[in-house]
Amino acid sequence: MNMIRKISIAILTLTSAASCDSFLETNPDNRVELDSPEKAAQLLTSAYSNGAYTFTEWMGDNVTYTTGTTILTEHIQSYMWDEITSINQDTPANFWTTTYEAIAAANEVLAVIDELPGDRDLKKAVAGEAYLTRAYGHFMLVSLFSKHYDPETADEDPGIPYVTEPETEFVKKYTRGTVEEVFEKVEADLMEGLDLVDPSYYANSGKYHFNREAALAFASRFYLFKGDLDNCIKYSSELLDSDPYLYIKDIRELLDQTANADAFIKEYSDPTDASNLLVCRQITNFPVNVGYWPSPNMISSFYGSNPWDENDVRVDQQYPIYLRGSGWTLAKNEFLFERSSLTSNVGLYYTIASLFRGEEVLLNRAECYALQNKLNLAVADLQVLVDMRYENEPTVTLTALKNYYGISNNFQATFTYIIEERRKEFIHEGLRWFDIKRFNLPVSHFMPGGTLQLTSEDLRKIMQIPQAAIDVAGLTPNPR
Amino acid sequence: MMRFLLPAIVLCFGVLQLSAQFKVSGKVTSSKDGTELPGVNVTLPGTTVGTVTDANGVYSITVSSGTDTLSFSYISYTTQVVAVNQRTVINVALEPDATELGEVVITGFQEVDRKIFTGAAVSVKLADVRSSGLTDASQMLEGRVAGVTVDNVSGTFGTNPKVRIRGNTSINGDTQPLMVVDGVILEDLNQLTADDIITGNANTLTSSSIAGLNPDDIESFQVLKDASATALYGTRAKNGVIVITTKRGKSGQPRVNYTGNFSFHLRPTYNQFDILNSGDEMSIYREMYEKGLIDITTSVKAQNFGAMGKMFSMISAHEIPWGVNGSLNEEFLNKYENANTDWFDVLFKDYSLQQQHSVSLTTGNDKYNGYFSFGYMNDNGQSIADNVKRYSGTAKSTFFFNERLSLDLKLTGNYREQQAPGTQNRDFDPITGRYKRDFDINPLSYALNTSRSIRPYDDNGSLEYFRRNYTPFNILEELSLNFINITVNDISAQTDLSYNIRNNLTFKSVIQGRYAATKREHVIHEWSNQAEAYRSDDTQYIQDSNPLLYKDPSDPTAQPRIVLPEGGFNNVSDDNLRYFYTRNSLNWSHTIDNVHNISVLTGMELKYADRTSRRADGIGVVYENGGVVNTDPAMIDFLQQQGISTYALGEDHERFAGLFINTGYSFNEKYIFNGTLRYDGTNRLGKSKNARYLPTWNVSGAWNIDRESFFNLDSFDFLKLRATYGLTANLGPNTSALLNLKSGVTLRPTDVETYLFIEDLTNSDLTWEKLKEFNVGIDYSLYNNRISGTVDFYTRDCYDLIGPYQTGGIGGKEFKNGNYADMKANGFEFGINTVNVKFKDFSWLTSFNIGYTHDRITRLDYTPRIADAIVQGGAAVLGGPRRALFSTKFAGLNQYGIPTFEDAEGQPVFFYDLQDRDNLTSILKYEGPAEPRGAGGFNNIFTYKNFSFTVFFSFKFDYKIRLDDAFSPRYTDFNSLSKSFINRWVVPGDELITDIPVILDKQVLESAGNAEILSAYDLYNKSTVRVADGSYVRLKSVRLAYTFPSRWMNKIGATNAQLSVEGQNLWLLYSDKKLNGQDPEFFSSGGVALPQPKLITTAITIGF
Repeated sequence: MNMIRKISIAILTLTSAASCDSFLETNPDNRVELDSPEKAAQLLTSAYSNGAYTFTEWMGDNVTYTTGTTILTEHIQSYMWDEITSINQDTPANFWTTTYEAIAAANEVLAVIDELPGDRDLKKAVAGEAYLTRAYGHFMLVSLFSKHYDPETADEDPGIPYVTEPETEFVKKYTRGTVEEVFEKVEADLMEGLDLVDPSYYANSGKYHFNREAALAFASRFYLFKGDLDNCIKYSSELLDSDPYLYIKDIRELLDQTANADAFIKEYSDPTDASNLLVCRQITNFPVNVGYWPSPNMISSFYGSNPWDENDVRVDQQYPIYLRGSGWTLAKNEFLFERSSLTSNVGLYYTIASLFRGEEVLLNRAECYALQNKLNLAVADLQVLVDMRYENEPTVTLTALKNYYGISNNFQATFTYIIEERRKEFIHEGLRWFDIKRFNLPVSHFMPGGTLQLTSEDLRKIMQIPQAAIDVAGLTPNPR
Repeated sequence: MMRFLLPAIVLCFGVLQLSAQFKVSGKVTSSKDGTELPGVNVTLPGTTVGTVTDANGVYSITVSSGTDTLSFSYISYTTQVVAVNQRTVINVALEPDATELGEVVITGFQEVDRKIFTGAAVSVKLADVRSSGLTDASQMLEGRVAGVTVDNVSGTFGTNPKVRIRGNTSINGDTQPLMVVDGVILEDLNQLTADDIITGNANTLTSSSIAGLNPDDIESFQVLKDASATALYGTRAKNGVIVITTKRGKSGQPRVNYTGNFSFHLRPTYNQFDILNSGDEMSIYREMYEKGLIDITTSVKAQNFGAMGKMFSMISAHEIPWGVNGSLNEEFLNKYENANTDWFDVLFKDYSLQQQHSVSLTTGNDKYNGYFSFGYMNDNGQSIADNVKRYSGTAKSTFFFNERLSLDLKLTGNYREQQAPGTQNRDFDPITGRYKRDFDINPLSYALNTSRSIRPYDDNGSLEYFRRNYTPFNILEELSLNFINITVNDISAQTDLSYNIRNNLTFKSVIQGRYAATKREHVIHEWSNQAEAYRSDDTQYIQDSNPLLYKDPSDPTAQPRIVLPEGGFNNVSDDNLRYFYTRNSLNWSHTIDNVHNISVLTGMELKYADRTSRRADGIGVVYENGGVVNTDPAMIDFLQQQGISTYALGEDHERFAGLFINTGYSFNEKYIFNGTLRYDGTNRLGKSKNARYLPTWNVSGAWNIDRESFFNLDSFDFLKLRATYGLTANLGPNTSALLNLKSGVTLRPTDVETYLFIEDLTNSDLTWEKLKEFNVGIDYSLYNNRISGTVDFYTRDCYDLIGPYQTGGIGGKEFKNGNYADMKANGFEFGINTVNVKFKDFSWLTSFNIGYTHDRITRLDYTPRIADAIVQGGAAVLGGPRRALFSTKFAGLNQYGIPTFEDAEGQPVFFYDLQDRDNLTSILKYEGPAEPRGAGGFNNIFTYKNFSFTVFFSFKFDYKIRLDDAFSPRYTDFNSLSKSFINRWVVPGDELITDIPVILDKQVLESAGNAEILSAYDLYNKSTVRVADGSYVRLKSVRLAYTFPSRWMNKIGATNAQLSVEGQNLWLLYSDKKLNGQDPEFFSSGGVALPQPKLITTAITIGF
């Protein structure tokens, strides 16, 4: 019996010991292990959200009640400043989840990059890009889902969860922190990223990744929103100083050189265009025939007159305009289609969007100069833009601006003009909404039943936290 | 190993030598036919002494005294105990066991005497359920075992039926039971979940491994249902286990058996279906013409057209004139109006032959038993587009080295060649809530969906073309040019070693290696419509709308151009499975004082399965020209821009290890207690060590009441009460506990790069899906087995079920797979077999079984969208069954004949937000479960002399079916129409008397802001008026058999012969009238799915 017991024990332990852990280590499928800085760099391609904040256009004052397009629930909800319950593309919830998805990719990289074997410089560059994407994602979220940064109240205003490590629990609770905390962390990550980023590692055009120019543009926007004028000027100038014209699209030339509308809009967001500092693939129905658009009257009231009494090339006869039912669009984005299978007509519309353009940096700096009352510097910046946007390169003068607005205050005339140019330049790009928030502008929307008002300090300017994040992650909703 | 074991053997022999006193010998025969029985166990009870009979049934044994008793035991025979009484020659005739296999429960790990088995298990002999026309063994269990539901969702060979034991134990995971053949888990060729099976995609044809098994090689099925029966399978047992035992050699004269089955498919006919004839169709097309839906301009740019469109296009090409005064050309249309094409006649074969031949050889002596078989199956197919051949072979040898050591060697292999209609995978469109399949040429779908005014042949008898995908189309030509060839090679080798270390201690070892290669080749010939569609750019209209033409993004001025200038496609998918399995166990059994029996089984298991899959699309293959390939580089750009790759590689590795111990105690075979503990580990959850291991356990007991002295009801032969409580588990779907990164290629106009993305985040909380089950059952037998059966009640607590969970999104995944749901189920099973009449020449046997499970989701942290809940398959919703079918609430037609629906407030609307998750239950109506809760069967066998007659009914109940989509905002003259169109809304006021919506006119279709009206037609298809009760009773089979008398057979040297005729699926006795012939079991999903055919089979069996 003893012998038998020994034999059986021997057989069992032999076979089972050989099995267990090492046997069960095998990967179940063709998943990829994050074990080199090259793979970490590839993962960062996912650190750019494919969601778009296009809903801000439908909420803002660039559109009116137009008909003839496909109007989905989220379009009506955006236009009426109702809670946007849909989670489709072009909704706050979609932007929220896709942005946090991008942040998660950055966090997975940052969690391991130091331990990975490989080229140290590459590892630094990868970490740099990861910090920048993480900062950018959180910055856009806080700009949409929290109150605009106000140094007086930022340490009390609820922010958004700033995620710095990979989530490993199935259901995790998060807290929002304050706007101040979020801005501190964004700033820290941004500075770290600016320090480390090394675009020499980027393949192709490098425009689909945070290159140094894009990082500077991000810093410019960040400090502008934060109200840190010196830093805004500092980083803006770092980009622009060599030659500001380099970063401003020459629309005239684009129009003349492209054969048709399709070619023009393709060029408009093309990475080779120097004004496009960072481009990104966004899944959106926005360029397709959906939602609300500016009416032709609205377009002519925006662009119909200017202090220079010159033709605006942005509404040039040659400039491609799309009809959206009873609305108009100045064509800027390609609409591309990803089919779910070759012969299928089911799929997703996407576009290539410019997340940062040189024009924004220029206008950011002009705004800061104006606010610091360095009006001649502001005028110099405006001159760059005006040269590229109006026929016959009119000269920017404070007098012309004051006359045009009928204002005697130099600063006010300059500032008003800057904000107006921002609106014209970035129509359909979603940026106007942040000016509405920054300057507490009221918005009114025409509806057949009566006009709707969004007052200057309306709580609905702060996007509501998505329902799932309130319910599951335990976030406090924004007051209504 | 032998080195260690030899001393033990010598030791045992020593014992035997010492007590040898005198010798008894004799012959053991069968009392039935007097044949000699080799391999019978002859033992001295209470000692370790024993021997087995030789090839001639002769034994010789040494006993210690003349007063000893000898026990003769043999499988399938009743054990006899004979007192020696000082005799030296004892001949014994063993009685065949009345219940034969029923006496032993084969769990795959061990064989347990039925009397002391504590679980719920049902054994089915193949001979009792063999339907001669069926080629796939798994289909044979339908209606045979209480609690086992078999949905034959497709009749196409190779598709796994949807088998469920006791309902569902998972919400999103697999619900198929574990299939075990001769003790080894049979991996499927492709791993598909129950939801995948109904897709009709080409991979469903290579889902089933059972399809490779020749049914004639099977001896029996053992269905293990409750936690006790399946305990030894631990973490794979949640869905129950079906153990298949194949035939093995027998000692005695070599025997040859031949079975031949010849079946004829009966083709479907129009009177089973709800389809208009061509005259009525044409009158509707005329209405469409009047409404501006079809005219000369629409026809020129139509993607598809039938007779009416053909007339317009010919008028436009000046091939035929307009009718009188510019009206329709009636002369032309009349030909089609009267065509009344019978597509079933065109596409299905009239009496297509399916044949199965099987030859087996059984041989053996005291040292060796062998079973060899060869099977050939050839099915010409129900339709002109499908056929299959299967070759299978088995060689099984058992070597008895001595009375302690035996070794089984099994080699099996099968090879399959199959042809199926060419198909693409279907896509779900969340906007309309419909599944779409492009280029579908499934013969059944085509017959059901194609206008009867379209003709396959023109007046001259040559093929006639209509338009599909902007290209001329004829189904007969297309089926010959667009098809899928499937080949399957599946070989396995298995050894089973058994060594009696001592009489009460046995070591067993099973090792299996298997390799299966599956290849699917989709041939899309250059002249097929699917290839030609890439080349249709005849007019500007077509150029603008044909999505298969390529517009070069770098050249915005370019016209859409052809990217498949010549050739077709050759799309190849390869799937390979390498499988290795081993199990080693020790079984010890000990009896004390003849009343206490203790047994212990312990051992380990290892499983290793590697799967690789490869898909490659050949583009521009010119078949006519020796298969030369001419791929336009622009085609690659075209595909890349849409995110489609022409090559894909997949890998899947499974590693599994388990340890188990099972102990049993029985007191006088009266009180039985049993317990099992298993500890399993797998790699499926990723490299996480926390989630990897799981212990499972089970306790059970049984009480053989009939053995109690107080129980003296003579009418009872057998009465057992048993109870079980235990935990089993299964891996859920998409489970990964560690970070799962996948790679892809960016979809951008420029800057294309390889990138990684997060498929799953780390989930350190992930664990297996688990099931706790409590089962009480009674096994009974009365009046000398005249009445017997089982009754079971159970309650099941399924928890930690895995599925998609909507998170706050902050961690980086909006939806995560995790343990998010619980489900409770309870049910009962009842089975009864009765011998109603038994005379010398006539007998009538009945068996009836019914099983019912009620499941209810008790926790679900995630709600589906409205779009998910209204589809045919239903969705999981808290408080409902696993798959609950919901309908939009139809609120009547409005004054324009357009359907309206109630919204959450009861107001009539045309449109719901299909993406809505929050108001699902208030907006939609809950119809019932989409899967049957109850199922069963009723079988009658009448025998008169050498004739036997069997009638078998199967039934299912308590579920709802969504009717196929029949309505659309836009109809074409290509599509068939439901007969209900006769009652459609035509003029205002009709809304009071009909529910059939209006055919929209052009003005409504093209007016702005009509999206809601168009969506109303999609909602109508999913509404309360488009639901039917799924319950049905089917006359599954009728069979008449004649066994030839042996005196005739002896003359030709045969030992037995039988001839039978059988009809299958002949009659749907009861089903909801609303189904209008739609088979409640069948999902008409197109692709490769075909319904179960009606079969008439003649079978002959002859043995020598």
